[in-house]
Amino acid sequence: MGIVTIEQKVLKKNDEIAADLHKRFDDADVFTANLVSSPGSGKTTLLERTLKFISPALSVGVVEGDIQTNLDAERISKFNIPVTQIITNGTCHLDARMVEEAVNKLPLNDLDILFIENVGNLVCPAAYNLGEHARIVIMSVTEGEDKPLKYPAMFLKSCVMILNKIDLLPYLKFDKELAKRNALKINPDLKIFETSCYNNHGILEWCDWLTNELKLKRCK
Amino acid sequence: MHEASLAKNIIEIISANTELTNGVRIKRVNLRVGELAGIYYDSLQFYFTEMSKGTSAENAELIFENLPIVGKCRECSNEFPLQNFEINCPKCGLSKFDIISGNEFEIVNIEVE
Repeated sequence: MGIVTIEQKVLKKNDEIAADLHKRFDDADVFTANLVSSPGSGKTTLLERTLKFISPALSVGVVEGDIQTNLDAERISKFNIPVTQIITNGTCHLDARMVEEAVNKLPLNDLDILFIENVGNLVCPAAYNLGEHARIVIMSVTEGEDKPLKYPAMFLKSCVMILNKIDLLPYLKFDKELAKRNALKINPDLKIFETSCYNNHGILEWCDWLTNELKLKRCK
Repeated sequence: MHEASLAKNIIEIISANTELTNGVRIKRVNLRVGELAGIYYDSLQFYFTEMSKGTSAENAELIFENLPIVGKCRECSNEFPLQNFEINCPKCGLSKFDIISGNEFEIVNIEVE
């Protein structure tokens, strides 16, 4: 018997590709946001509302990730912006290599903001760095207030939490403040937005944050 | 499901390393796994066993060293293990802390024969 020392991260290769992607985003002056959530939180609808507010003024690209179908890319393509669909064929997350291939099909140098809409899953995508500048976790009020406590890694690794479908609060026994407290318990630095894609509540504030982040990035 | 891709990663990493040791037979793979890494051990072993068939790691056992989640208080710098996120710093009572350990997922070494 002998021992061969390895001392290597299992996701080392992913992290290396993610670091390359991050540099490419920086070189192209593109602010990249990785949108993560459980299925059905309203990621694609939020993206549609966001595009409605910011895409006339800013050049936006989208990478859509789904296990099957290109339905989301079809929805986004109505905005006449560059969009690439990744179909993972059963894989529950996007990894940096998939994103690299998708990004190669986009006119990166012409973009201001790139959104990567991850596969709907609060577990596995947490482990995969995609080279993004910001990870945005979206949680809808139809989910439990305890989601951040049950899926801490995702909330810990995000810098923004969007509490979506806020217009449904009158019909639900959802304690909004408790949900926020739970999220801040995991990550005291989380910036929280409350949004409704039905009446556009909070969309402007979220878009202002995005454009401000882009400005800050370009000032560096 | 992501245990399947992780099993593939582990096999790729150990294959690259065993080339250096003349294709020996691997008995055990020692891994260091933080509790926040979201790894379901039985599932990872299942995929690893299936995917390593025909390689030098066939029938190898994965051994997991479990690393607890450790928080560091933003007020008093006290470091403490977190069984859950509903606790405050045991020293000063503040609820704001940074996670300094628990995300690890590394191959430490392989035992070969």
